[in-house]
Amino acid sequence: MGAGASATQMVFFISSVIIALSVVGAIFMNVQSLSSSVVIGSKTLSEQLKTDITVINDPEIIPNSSRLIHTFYVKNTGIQELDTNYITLIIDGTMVNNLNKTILEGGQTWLTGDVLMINATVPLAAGNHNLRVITANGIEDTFPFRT
Amino acid sequence: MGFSTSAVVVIFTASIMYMASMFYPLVDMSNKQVQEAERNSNELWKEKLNTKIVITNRIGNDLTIFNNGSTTLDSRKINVIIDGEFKSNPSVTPGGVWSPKTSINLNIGTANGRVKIVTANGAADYSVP
Repeated sequence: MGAGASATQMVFFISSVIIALSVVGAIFMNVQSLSSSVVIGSKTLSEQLKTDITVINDPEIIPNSSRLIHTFYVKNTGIQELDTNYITLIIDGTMVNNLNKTILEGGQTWLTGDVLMINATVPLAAGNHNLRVITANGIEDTFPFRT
Repeated sequence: MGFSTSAVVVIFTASIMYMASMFYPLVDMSNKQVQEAERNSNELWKEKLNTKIVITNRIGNDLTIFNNGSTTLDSRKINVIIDGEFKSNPSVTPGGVWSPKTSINLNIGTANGRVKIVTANGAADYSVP
């Protein structure tokens, strides 16, 4: 085998190693991305499974101030502590943005069994309405009520 | 098989083994996490489905509430709503363990009003004077 053939072999060897490493690098990045997605996905799913909320108001009598500020009591009936900052409240299909939230048992975290008092500033006409409360991880409770 | 091919095979094999050893523990851990959450969720739903309370008597300010389910409850963790308003720290006797087929007494401080009693897991009953 001459010097030319050896050089060719050497070039082939180095090229194949570089290509193999590039392919492995690309696959490795995908596997890492997949791994982190699996971890995040399972964390979200397990949190959703452990989350449950219940609106405990009396549907006949919703406390209100001048038919403008309505008070709803939402209880954490799951086994997952929740963040009150990302609670979404929808009344008759319209999202209510002006919310004042207080945990009646005190503290900053909405623990299991705690009741969250939500004062929603929304004018409601007398009649039947439908409330949906949705947590940050997408678990919701629906509550039909009368004003 | 040439030397180049051997090198590529070695690189691929070692990398796949390394990636599998990285990937498998994470997937296994995630799977166990979801399985545990499912167990917790099933337990939670079992307790909810087996919980039922009934207000059996109302005389003056006092209510008698019967645990008609098969779940042991905590009488200190009930919530009371009178005429739509949440009442904090209700007076309950006996406080604590509330076994199935037993009653507790609750003083609501008023003889009037529509009363809703809610257990820790959301089961409820109403009383109207």
